[in-house]
Amino acid sequence: MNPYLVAGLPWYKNGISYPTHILLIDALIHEDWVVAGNAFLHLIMPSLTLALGVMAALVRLMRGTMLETLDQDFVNFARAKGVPEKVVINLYAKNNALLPVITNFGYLVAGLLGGVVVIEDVFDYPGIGMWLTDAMINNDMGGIMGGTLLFGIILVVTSLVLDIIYAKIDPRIRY
Amino acid sequence: MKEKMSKKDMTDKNEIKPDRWRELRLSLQVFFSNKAAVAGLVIFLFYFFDALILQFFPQILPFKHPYSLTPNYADPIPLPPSWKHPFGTTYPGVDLLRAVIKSIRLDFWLSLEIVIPGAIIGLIIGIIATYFGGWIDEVLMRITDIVFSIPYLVLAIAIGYVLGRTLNSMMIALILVWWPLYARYARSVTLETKELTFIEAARASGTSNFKIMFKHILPNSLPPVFVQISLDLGTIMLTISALAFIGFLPAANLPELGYLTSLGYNYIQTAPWAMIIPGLFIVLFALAVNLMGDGFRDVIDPRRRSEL
Repeated sequence: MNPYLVAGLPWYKNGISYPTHILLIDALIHEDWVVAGNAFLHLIMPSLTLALGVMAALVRLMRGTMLETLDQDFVNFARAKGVPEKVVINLYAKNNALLPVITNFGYLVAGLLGGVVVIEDVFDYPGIGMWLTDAMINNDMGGIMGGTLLFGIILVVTSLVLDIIYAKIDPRIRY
Repeated sequence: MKEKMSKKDMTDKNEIKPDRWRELRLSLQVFFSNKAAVAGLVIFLFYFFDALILQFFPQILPFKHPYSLTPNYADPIPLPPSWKHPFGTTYPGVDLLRAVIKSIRLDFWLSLEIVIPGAIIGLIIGIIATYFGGWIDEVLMRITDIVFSIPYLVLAIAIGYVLGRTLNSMMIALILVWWPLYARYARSVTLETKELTFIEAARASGTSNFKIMFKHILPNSLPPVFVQISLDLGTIMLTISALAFIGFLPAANLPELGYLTSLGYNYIQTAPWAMIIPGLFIVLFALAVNLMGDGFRDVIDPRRRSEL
């Protein structure tokens, strides 16, 4: 490829191509295992911090719905029939208890995207959140609009995927 | 005849009064049987009195500048906790104990200023939507859903750009995203209450819609909303501090817990207390308010009431 032709393009810089601009995925595409491993190591702490907050909310929600489901008649019936407890929980109760959790998952993702803004700032991770923070501090209107729009798109896509999963899990639902 | 009437009035009063006292005593009994909730209430009261004293009687405390941080540029590097500085100091020589006491005032009142207008807006929208039904309900609830799904930190940043990054614009931004939950609560309660006979009776006797909505339906939806307010105070405080931490408020020397945390941020390796202590006070408030809210939820829960 002629380097002068592609020099201004963001996915081709200093003779190295950046297909996605996500360090981990770019390193995997170039099969540079050292860089990929390092990028993965730097992802662990921020993602763990983000996940912990959502985890607490999910555990609480799941517990509430699971307790409700385990009180219902069909669970009693299954137990009376002599179905082992493992099967009762995993096959009978879990899927039914998951439905309200999935409904609320979309809002949890919204919270996650909010958390990204702070956590990337704390861990100095060069992501969308960091970029949005910089745009805010520099009063960069394009950056703020683009970041907000991108977060909106991520949210819309997530809720679409969740709706599809919802229909898959609960066969009563038809769109 | 007159005597009889007055006697009847007396008996009516006697019937109502002990009942109300019993209700109140039962509520207190339920609340105080929950040890965690009582601990939460005690911590919350500490924050409340701190905010109250600094707001209205700042001369009681030995602060020269109760509404701003006092940096000491002669000794800017954070010092570890000692007798002179019980919590240590943070970046420009700010004493952390004094700074935290000053910061709680701003955070506490700001979270109240956000939650209460948010709850009022949400209640009004939820009740109007559900009471009238039809397309008004459809439109208002769809707007609620849209606002509910926006990440509030991102929206606050966008509003901060439009209105300028000040305390007031932060307040407006957070009020704008905080009402949908209350609209949903009001909706669920109104849906039940709307069908009850006393509403029908009020309508039959010619009471105006406005009066039915805000005199008969509103008091019924207050208890769950009150619980949600007490739970939300902690979340709001976390949000305010997060926004201040990433630099939403450009004003320096503003006593705010999130801003204090960001002061110590560069010294996290060498002086961890500069970041841990303000963070601890944010988390402590959120935890206390959550425990307290759980206690209030038990109080309004009829199942918990019947146990005692």
